[in-house]
Amino acid sequence: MRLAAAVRQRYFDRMRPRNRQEDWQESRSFDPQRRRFLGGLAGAAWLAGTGGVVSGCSSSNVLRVPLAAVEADLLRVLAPSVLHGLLPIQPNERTDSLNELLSAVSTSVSSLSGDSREQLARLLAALDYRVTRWLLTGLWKPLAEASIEEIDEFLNNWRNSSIGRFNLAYRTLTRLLVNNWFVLPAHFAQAGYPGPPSWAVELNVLRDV
Amino acid sequence: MIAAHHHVVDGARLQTDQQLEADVVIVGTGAGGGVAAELLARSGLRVIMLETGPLQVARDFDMQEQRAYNRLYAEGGNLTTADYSIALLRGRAVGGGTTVNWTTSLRTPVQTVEYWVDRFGLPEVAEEKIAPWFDWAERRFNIKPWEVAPNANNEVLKTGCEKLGLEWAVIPRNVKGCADLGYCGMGCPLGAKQSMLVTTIPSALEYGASLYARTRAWKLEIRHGNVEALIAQALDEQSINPTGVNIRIRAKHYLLAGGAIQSPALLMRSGAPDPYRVLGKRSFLHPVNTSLARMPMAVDAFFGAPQSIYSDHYQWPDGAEGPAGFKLEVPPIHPGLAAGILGWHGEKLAGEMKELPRINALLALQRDGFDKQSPGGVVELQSDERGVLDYPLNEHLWDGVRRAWHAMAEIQFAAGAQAVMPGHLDAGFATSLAGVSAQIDRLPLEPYKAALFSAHLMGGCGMGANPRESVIAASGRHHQLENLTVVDGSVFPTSVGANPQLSIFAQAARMTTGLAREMQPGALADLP
Repeated sequence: MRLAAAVRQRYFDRMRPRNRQEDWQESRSFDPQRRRFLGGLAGAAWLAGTGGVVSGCSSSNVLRVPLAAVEADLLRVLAPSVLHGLLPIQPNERTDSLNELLSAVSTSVSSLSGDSREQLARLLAALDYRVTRWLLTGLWKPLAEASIEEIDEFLNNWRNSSIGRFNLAYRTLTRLLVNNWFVLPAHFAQAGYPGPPSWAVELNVLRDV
Repeated sequence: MIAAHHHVVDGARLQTDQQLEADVVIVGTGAGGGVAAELLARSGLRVIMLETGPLQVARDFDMQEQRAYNRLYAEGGNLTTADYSIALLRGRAVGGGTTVNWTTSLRTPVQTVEYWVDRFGLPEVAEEKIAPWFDWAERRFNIKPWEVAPNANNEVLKTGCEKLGLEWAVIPRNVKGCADLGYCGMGCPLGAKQSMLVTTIPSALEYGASLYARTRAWKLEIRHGNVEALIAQALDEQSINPTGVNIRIRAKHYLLAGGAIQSPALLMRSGAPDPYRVLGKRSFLHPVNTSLARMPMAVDAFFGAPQSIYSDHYQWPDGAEGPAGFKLEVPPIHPGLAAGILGWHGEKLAGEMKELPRINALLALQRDGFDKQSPGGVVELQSDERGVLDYPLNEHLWDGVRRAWHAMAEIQFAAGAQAVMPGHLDAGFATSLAGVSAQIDRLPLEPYKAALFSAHLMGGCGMGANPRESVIAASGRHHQLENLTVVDGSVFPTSVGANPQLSIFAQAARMTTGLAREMQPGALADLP
């Protein structure tokens, strides 16, 4: 893992910020060395994407709706770790839940503009392509072959990392799944939430304007 | 109510290019555009309103987070600043932010007004000059201090402040017939919130104005300091991609009210004159950090008027300038947004979400743009020419964030919290004030680690007497473009120091009335 860390560091050093604004270095107070790391994850994914090496991802690297198979499959593989303790255990129920979740994710992606979809697509592409996956997660094997614990471990590494881009990747990926899980009425009870008052729901259904 | 006989066009359904004429075209239908539309249409002027988002009305507001974010917020609620470090909740539907805001209607603090007068040469907005406009807006939108008891979430703020001897106050709200439901952020299903959607927009339509929804103002054609036309794009069902149908509008006057990202971005795309490079600069957010408390009793922060109590105790520590000051409020808590904010996954998330009904959250809104150390952000165009806000986080802001975490934790424990956790990835629930304070002192102040938000976009087309440091004059008129006025949150020369909607109502009414009287002598005699 020390090697992976060293490679990662070199790799992040080459990344560029998202904006064209060149004078931002003066305007920010934290040190330039660290700032370069911040370009990291989007950059890693960018490298993976533009190399034309990402199999199965749309050539434009913009997340399409419905999600491409490779992206949907990745989210399906991540969901049992991200939603551990929330997903039903019984296999049929679990499949149904995952389908419903993926459909909610798709709806949510459909309200994103090109740039946001591109960032998300790049992140997923980076997890799909072996070299970037290894750099980002330490896992050489496909995520579909990783255990819940292994995925949980890299998510925690991302979460606890001192490299901002990993924290961002953690927030982006987990939020996509947990937000879309908890907006579904079937899961309100897991948050102790009774849902909107029924009188107000009924009133609104009856409304004609 | 918007009625069948009103002229409302859904851009997504337009099949052919359009050529339109008007006296005034208004870009955006939020707090600024909505107020302007009614006043101009009432003056007998031909008005066209353009709105990027869809027309959604009370019956569409089903109190479900999923539908609300996807339909009513920019990027489905996933908008951020350029480096993704601050999440931005920006309303994007007919009525703009007023359709989804939490109804908090506070006047511009007197300290802010005085700072604008002194620092930006704006005697026109001095306390006694602007007061009649606040009076007008408070009548128009039925703004009154909330008379119902605060919900338990707001009660925590009140109790904590009382126990500690900190000042607090009741929030005035723009509601009529409010049932204390708690779904303001998803669009009011009762039509009780006096948003633009149920007040000024139907009124403007009744006076003969036209409304184009899912239509994005894209470029102004500018020649010799004059705007000659506006090109708008019809958008698809999701209000994201242009359908290819264009609308060209020629008007006598162009009124921008697309908000603090869109108004500067439209001017930039159009190559508007900006001789002193001030356009899009000094953009402000009231960056928000949060503190979560586990209370001994049910808080049920998903129900009840979302915001009814605030505290300005820490707002002006050293006057307007100096160290960052912050306003304290609370947010409503619904499961989707809460789960995304907690910053956990797996069993930890599952365990904490079970406790959601006992969770209280406090917000600190950092008052940015007053001190030299708080220059705000910059609106820029991305490669696709859409506007993006680059908002650097600096020591001045982080210092305010850290002090706010301490202040919020103290209030929450004083109100009886069992455990408190600052909104930061490295934080956890601590069961004593000493414990959480020690934690707060150690937390690395870094983007992505700290959960930061904003629902208040301000500045970027700041008003001022001096064209070298402002985009528009006190009248709202662009310093270099004769027939263009800006009337939205982008006009503020600093952040407001309070939730901005009432400040926007008042400034928009003042500016628009001036314009209406210029175009239509004798108009709006009943206004100040």
